[in-house]
Amino acid sequence: MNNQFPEISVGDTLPPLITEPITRTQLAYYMAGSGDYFPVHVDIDFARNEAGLPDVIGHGMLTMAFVGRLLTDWCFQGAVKRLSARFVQVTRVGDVIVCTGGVKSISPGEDDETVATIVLAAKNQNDEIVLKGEAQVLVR
Amino acid sequence: MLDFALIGHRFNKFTVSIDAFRLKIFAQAIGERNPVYFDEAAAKNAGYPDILAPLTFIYCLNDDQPDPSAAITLFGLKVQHVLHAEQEIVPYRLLFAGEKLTGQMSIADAFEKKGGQLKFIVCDTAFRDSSDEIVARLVSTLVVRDE
Repeated sequence: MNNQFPEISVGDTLPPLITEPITRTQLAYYMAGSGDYFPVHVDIDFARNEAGLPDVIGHGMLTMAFVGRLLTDWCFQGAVKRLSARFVQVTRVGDVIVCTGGVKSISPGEDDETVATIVLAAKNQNDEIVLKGEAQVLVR
Repeated sequence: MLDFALIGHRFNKFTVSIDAFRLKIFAQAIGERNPVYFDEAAAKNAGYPDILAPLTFIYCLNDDQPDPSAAITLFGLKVQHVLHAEQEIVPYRLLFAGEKLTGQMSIADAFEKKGGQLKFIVCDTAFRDSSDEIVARLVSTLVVRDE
């Protein structure tokens, strides 16, 4: 963990974060930790009978949490001013999620701050995009 | 048709607390191995007052409000038809186990696309600490497909 703002340049890429395959146990833990108790994430009977899905699906916010880890593995968490994400596709049990980020721009922010815009993405093992996002990180 | 007059509607304030036990489960769930996110001694050694809440954890506290589906039911829509389309998190400072926060959600926007087949509701929640300082803002975009 770095307790300082990152030294970065436009075009820099963050070290990718590659998850272990998503497990049902993990989705159960995420349900308990997040407080999102919607059964579609852990109950295959509910997924099939009530939601018309072949199996349970991962929480979009679990993918966003992976992207959060990508950022905080790279810079001090306190430097992150904003994180936004669009959920493109659901995740499933067995999915390996690859999170990537790149420095798109660095520009002045408020109060003499310098802010880097990081473009973020998460893909599954089939190279399908599951999440697209952006973060603003203080660099000075 | 969405009732656009509901834009600006503010829900009741609610209080939440950041629980160390829950942070441990959350860290496990998201595969976070840095002990500052689940071990009190490690967090304090790193200079934090207590276990650090990960970047996206604040979203979980929004679902702790008495009626997390309030925005959906306000518009007369069904939870089963809702998808989480987008999420924005604006942290004002780091948050730690043991903190108590007050949240308040409002309807920031509501709009339709594809001739009303897709309805979007944007909720904005602000969290404040015991000093009434804002500590985080969440902007959630929900999409409801017409069934």
